[in-house]
Amino acid sequence: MNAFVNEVLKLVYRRRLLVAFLLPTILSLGLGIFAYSHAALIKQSENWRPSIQLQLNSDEHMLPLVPSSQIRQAQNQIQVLRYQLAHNVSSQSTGPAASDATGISMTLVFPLVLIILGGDIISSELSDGTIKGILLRPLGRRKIFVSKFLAVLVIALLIRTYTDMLGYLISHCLVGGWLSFSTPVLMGDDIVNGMVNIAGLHVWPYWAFILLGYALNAVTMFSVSCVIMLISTVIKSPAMAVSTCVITFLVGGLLDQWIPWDGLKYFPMSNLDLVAQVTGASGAGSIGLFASLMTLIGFCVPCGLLAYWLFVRRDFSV
Amino acid sequence: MQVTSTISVRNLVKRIGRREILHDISFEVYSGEIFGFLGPNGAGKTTTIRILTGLMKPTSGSVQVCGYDIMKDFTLAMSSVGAIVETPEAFRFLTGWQNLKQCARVSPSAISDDQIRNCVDTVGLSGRIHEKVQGYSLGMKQRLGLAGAILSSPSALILDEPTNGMDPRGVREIRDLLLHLARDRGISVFISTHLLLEAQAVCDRVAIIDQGSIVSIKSRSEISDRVSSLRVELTVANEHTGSALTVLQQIGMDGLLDHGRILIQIERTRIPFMLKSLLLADIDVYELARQGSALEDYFITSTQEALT
Repeated sequence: MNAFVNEVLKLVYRRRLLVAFLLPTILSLGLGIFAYSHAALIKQSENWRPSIQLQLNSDEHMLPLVPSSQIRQAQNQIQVLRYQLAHNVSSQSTGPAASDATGISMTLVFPLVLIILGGDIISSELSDGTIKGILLRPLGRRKIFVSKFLAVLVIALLIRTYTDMLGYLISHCLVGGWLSFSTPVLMGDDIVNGMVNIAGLHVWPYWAFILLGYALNAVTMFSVSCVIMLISTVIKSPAMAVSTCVITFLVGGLLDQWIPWDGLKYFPMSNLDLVAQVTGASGAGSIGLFASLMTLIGFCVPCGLLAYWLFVRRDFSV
Repeated sequence: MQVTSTISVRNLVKRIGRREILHDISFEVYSGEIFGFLGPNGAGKTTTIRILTGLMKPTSGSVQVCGYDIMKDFTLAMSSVGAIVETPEAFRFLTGWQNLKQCARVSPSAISDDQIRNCVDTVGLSGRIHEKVQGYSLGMKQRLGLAGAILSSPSALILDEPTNGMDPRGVREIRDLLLHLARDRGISVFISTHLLLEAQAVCDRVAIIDQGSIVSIKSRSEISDRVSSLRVELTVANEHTGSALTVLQQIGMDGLLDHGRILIQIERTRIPFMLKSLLLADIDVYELARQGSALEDYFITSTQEALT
């Protein structure tokens, strides 16, 4: 516990905590303003049904013109809109946990937050020799590793909580009344052959959606932390460690937007946004929540275990 | 008096790749003694210390501290050890005080702020303890490292070049501190150094390591006895220099004039005779100083023997 306090204090004094909090704050403010302008547009029409109907009509007319690579996504979109009209579900924009339809929060911002916190948590101390100071204390390497891992993860979870609350607050203040905890949320995790199965669509109350979203995001952050710990353990230079983390997550995560290769969806870094698997937002690239979870955990947890094994066994010549 | 060993090293072998860095190293450090660990650069001093403190694992052999095996019971063994390995690195973005608080938090027993203040006073860092380590000199970092090492009242101190980068006053202070810890508190001090004068001044026993093997372990008195022929430096009144050289020649000693001083290689037992002869010839002797130290002579000969 005390070792954990030490690690947290170090992050505070290195100003990592401040930067890690600032990043999602800026994102939330940006998304809040975006949501506000979007909501203002809907309000003009008083009733959401005509605007959904309008969108559905235009989507259906555009379908023949959609390039073949995006056809599935367009078809999914149409299915979802039809479902909304049929079941009287007003919106799929769902506040903090999914307010970023682009998935930027879990694929970009939170990996970045974790890298800021943990990218050099071991490598910086390896390179300047300060790790000795802790290794020479009667702690044992297991505690040192676990306290560092937990410091990164717990702070990241706190920042996630803070971001969710901030997002909710911003939407609530700017948009007003638009979100309530019982607002129904459209869930479409049932993907058959890359298509949203209309029978699998169902509605969750907003509060349950938030909880589920938080749990899934926690799993993603745990997995990302595992990989970051491995990189930070293996690479001694802090600059190299941080760059490697950035390449692994940010470039890896964005690959599927640049390269139209279907197999990419089985890459762990393409599955960071688990919430998208639930809401069906990931569309054609989706492999379903269960497969997505397994891909992510199956890759990342062994990374974490390898990092632990290396850290506990290695000779330190610092 | 029952002599108990605080640190006990048996048949330590360390191989990295194909190269054997340490060959079968064994020694004991008894409670209340200061044990010097000398060796030329690259002899394996730091590797040995890294193994003693659990930073590295030996290929074979064992290290016991206060009866606990460093590999099997790391936490118990290290609970009674304070250590500095190479330069003590402190977190630059924290103050000296915050660094010590970090150490205190992970100590086996609770350490109060008063205890920390005591340690800071002991190492003479009170004036600047609340400054960031970023602005510390190497000597100040050494002092901070030492404060951290004695923080949890250990029964063994393992120090790697503890006076590196310190000014002469700091060196003396640390020397006095180590003597105080060993004599008054019965702490075993294992100190690695390449400064022979330092070792000569404080160490009860000295081990010399060369090329990964211990060449010898001797007590201070044994070393003085072993070295029979010494180099001394004689200063006499300026006008007597010539006659002093003549007297020395008469009693069969070769004096060499160097910057007004006379250098002589002489058997230890013949020094009184030489002095008497000079006094009888009415020569005013101002100073008779030994050149180098017994340990230095011993160190040079032992490591040379190992090389041949």
